[in-house]
Amino acid sequence: MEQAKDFKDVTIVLAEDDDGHAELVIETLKEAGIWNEIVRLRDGDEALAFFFGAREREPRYEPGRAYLLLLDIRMPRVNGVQVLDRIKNDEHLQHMPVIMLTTTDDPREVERCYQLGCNNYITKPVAFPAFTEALRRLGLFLLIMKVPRLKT
Amino acid sequence: MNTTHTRFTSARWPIAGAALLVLCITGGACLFYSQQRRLILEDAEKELSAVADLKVHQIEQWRADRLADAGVVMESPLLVEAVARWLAQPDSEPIEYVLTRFRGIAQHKGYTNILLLDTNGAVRLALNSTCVEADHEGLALMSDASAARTPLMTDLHEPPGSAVPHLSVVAPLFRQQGGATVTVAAVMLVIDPSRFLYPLIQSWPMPGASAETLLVRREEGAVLFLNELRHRTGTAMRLAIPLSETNVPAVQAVLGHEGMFRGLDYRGVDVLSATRRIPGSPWFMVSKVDADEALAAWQQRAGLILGATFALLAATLACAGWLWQRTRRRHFQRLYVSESQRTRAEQAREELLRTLRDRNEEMENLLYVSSHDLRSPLVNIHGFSQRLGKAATELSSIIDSAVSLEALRDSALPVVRERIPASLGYITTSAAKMDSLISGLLKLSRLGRMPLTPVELDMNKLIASVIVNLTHQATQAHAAVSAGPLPPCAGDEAQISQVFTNLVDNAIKYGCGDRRLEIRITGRIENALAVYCVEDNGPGIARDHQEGVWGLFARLDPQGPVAGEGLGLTVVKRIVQRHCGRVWLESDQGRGSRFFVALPRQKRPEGIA
Repeated sequence: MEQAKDFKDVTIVLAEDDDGHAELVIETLKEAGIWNEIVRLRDGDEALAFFFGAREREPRYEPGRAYLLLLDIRMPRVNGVQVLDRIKNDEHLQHMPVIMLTTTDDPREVERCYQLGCNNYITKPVAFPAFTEALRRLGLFLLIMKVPRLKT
Repeated sequence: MNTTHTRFTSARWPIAGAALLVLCITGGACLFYSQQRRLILEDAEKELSAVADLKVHQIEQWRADRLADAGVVMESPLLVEAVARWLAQPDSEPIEYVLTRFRGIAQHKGYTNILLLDTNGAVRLALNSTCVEADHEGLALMSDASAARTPLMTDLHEPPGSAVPHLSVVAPLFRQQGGATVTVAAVMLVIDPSRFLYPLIQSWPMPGASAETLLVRREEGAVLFLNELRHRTGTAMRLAIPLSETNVPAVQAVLGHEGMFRGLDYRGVDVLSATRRIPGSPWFMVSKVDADEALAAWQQRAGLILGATFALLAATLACAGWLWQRTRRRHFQRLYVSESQRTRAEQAREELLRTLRDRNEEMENLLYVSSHDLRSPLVNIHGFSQRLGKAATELSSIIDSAVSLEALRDSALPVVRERIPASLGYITTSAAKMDSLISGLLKLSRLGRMPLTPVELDMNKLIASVIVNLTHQATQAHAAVSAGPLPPCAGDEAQISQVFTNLVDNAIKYGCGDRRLEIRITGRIENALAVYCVEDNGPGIARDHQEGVWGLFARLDPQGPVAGEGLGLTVVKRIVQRHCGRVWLESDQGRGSRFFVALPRQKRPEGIA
């Protein structure tokens, strides 16, 4: 599997329906030193369109590039678990790291995501210091992560 | 003679030059080779450390959350009161309340059982009555927990008569009695590690064939493996390796080594590992990967380096030979440089993932959904309050350092005009969202408590009045609403009327764009049920979304033009279920939807639940 040379080349895809959360996540990741290109998608439908939509549609992923998906669970229409399921069952996308980023710590939900093959599960704590701490750890982790390029 | 001598020396210099070059190339290649090997090892070490740190933090967090659950139980005065009263008089009432609380905690926090123990350690109440024996580990902790007035967690262990490891949290319950604090009882929350803890340990965040993390603890001169391993089964709480085998990373971990270690794992395979202690627990974490896999990239690179070195050497020799031959002016010869072949071994790992199980019923998820939905705005309120705080600090330093009014204005304006209002905007929106969620929840909970008075309903009359009440909305949307002859059914008049009002109102709200909206209500009899159908020619619902529409606070397009709190269909489903009926929908996207409501035709003699 070919890997991205540098984590800077990895595009972070953030699927998050709440504008406030998206802004906080992006800002905190930047504070943790993650300056990668970030694509923000507003719900599960947009996430499915990004990864499975018609080629000429924008925005859509480019094969041959490396992506990392931060996925919220509770989103209108198609939820994050459904998106995770599609991705982990697709031969082109299954090796893309998917990190669930959600307010739910329901053990059934966590269990289900791990079963489907999510690469990590991070709960957004309500208290802000804990929230930034969780994201900071995620940032440190991302910096050393090896992200495969998506098959062409 | 002279010419022969010249010819002889000039024939020698290419050989000397070539020998020097060969030396340089070989030396350079060796240096490069070892440097690459070091880089790859460092990479593998970083990855192992990062994974170990991440998991250690997550396990710490998980333990803290479980103790917090127990804390909530300890600090529920109503629960403690109910337990105390019931223990004093076992026939009295509050037992149902205690059981309901226990059931809620077990279901939403994922405990397999909850036991209530009296001060002597005897089990008085078990949520899951198939297992009513308290384990020794838990009992042993009871007095400690009660003395420390804090919940404590047992280690992983196998309970008597079961081969399934578990652990539990012991929460002592206290009550004020005559100025003194008295232990009343203890609650034991039983955790099945295979539901969260094991998957958390076993999942490796990056694709790889051999990497894994292990949880171990020290036990009587050996290290005990606490989870199922990736390369061997039946190991949880079974596999133990004596501490004398110090080349095993797990042994190193329990001996206090923290950091990188290269050794042999439980299979005797050469592995790279990172070891950590998990603070606040007797556990240690080992993250490891087969040296073969970690070094695979290096082996590939080594092959390339070797190939390139050979190619360079061959080229040097060819050049030297060519020069040598040219000086001797004997004959030309071309050397063909052999090509090294790279072989690529690709392992196809196909993982078959289990298909989606049906999601739990929405009412079961009420707590979960509302806690998520309420938490979500809370995250914003916290986060943006923090940002307001930052803005205030920034403003104060701007004021302190401003040299002129102009300068103050220039640096303070963006903060005051943009950042503060933006943060305030998020906070107000989130607060409003919480408010509407809470009123929605109250509405639902009121609905659940409302008494049902089922009567024989003339549905033709009931639907006609529903249509009359919605005339205004229908006219505005240019919708035609009609009803066919409808069979009667049994139900609570106000609530059944609410069901059809919500369905018709939804059809009107979501409209149909350019064509004229037609809504038709029909009915038929199927055995003991009267089945009604509300059909529209509106936008329809995509297959992917059909299941979700009944969910609490589910809205197809929250940013869209249709207002609402996402409660309409939840209420419909709730009411129909209370009438022992059934709801479902059929829809073709772009062509319309059919919502079906099946209700009993006759009142049940024992009354409707």
